[in-house]
Amino acid sequence: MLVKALLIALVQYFIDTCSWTYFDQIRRPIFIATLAGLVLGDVTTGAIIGGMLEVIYLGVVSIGGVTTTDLVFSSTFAVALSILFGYDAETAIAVAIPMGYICLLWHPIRMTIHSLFVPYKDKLIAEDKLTQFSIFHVVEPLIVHAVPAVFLFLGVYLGQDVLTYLIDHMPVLITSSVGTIAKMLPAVGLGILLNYIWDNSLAIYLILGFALSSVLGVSNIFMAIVAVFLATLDFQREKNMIDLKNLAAASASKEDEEDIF
Amino acid sequence: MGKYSIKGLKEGYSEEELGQIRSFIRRNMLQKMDYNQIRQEGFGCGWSLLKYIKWLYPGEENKQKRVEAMQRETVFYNITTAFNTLGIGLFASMEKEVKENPDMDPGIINNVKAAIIGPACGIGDSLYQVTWRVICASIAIPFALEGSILGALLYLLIFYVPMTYIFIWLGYYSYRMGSKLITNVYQSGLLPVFTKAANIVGMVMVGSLIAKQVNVNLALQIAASEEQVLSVQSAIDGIIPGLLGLLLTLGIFKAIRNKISPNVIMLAIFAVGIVATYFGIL
Repeated sequence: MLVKALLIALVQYFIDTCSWTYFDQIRRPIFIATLAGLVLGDVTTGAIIGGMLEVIYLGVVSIGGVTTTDLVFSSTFAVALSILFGYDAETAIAVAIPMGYICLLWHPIRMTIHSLFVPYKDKLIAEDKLTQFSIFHVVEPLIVHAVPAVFLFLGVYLGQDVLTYLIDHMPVLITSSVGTIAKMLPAVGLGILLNYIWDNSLAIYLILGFALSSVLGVSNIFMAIVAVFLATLDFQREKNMIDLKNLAAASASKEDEEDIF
Repeated sequence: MGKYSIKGLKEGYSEEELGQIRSFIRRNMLQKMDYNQIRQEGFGCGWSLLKYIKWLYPGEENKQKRVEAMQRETVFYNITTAFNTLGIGLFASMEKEVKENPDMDPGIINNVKAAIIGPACGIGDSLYQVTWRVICASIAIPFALEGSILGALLYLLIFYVPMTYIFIWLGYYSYRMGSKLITNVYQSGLLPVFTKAANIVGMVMVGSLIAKQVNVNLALQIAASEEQVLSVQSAIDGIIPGLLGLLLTLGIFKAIRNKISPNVIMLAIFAVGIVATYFGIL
């Protein structure tokens, strides 16, 4: 168990670190759970849990450092529960989803720790100690991002009895309301995104996407094609308007010149 | 195409300078390493340009200029990951302009930075995190559900192969264009047009995601007569399926617009979820 607990914690650490680089979109259940399954020696279970969680979390986005659940922890935890403790995929997911919300508490703490070092980094730069700054900038996050992995390791390695007891005795109210809550929470991520892109004149496009999907059950890929098609039409129309305006302005200034002569 | 391929964009630079461009594109992959509330990706931006700035201002005699450049590049800054290099290439070429042209006001760099944050985040997040990721995940999910490792691999490849090409290309492109990029974009008047087109894609996809992902199911039942029980949910589904999810999302959007913190909204959903389940409403 020691080795397996270490391995799953390593997966957690690897993904948590990558989440804050260019490879931030590997922080998705489909990838994390499959990787965790591969490392623990049961890639099939990992992939199935990953696929199920990905469907649940498809609407969860992370914008401006705000996210609505900790995808990494719920994915690694679900795989650990299923492969190491023998729970079936559905139970593992039902337990892991609330864990993802509890782990959200860590995110503001992490950013606050990074913020604490801002004055120190400013000082290093002002004193031209660039090598020190460079090392510190990389090493500090590498240490801080290890915290969830440590918790996962302790939970899986030491907390087995406690965990199984808690899971077997979880109040029915929690198990039954988690499903309801999980289905409502994507609305927060999508609401944040709407705040960025909203324009009253574009509301009809939201309704169109909603209606095609809810009434006709159109697939995501077809939906993307429709979206790009509509956007291209609009882009061409608006571009033509600009070209016309420029043309009109150019001919107007030409007339002015003729007047002078 | 030739002129705007990566090979074409590389033309005319010395081997040394190309090495510097490669270096800041590579380092730029770690831009949001220390994402924090005060500077967001500011230090990551400075860190990406560190080697480049050292190359522009080497040695003890340039210490003052080097420190000033580093301070300029570590102010508050944020951008969508996919567009990282668009910013970094632009700032690098502007730093070069500052060095070569003493008349140029270095303050312009920070104005450009502030101007980039809004549009780049708005366009980027909806295209990168919603449209593109959802397409890739939709292709990969069926494989994963069958228990195949192909799901994860396909997701990784489909998502990152085109993305990485764009990431590298944007670095070379914005470095070559420099401050011309900004004037071109603003003078042509195409930026708002492009933003609108990108937002249309975002709106359609978000609308579709609301229908598919946000589910509010009422368990509430009304006894119409002694034998007949009317389910409120099926009555709503008869009109428009998923209407409650749409209303919930729009309500949350309104709340965020009115400066209510997303964290508060999430807590409210938890509270409502538990209470409503207890009373058998949801």
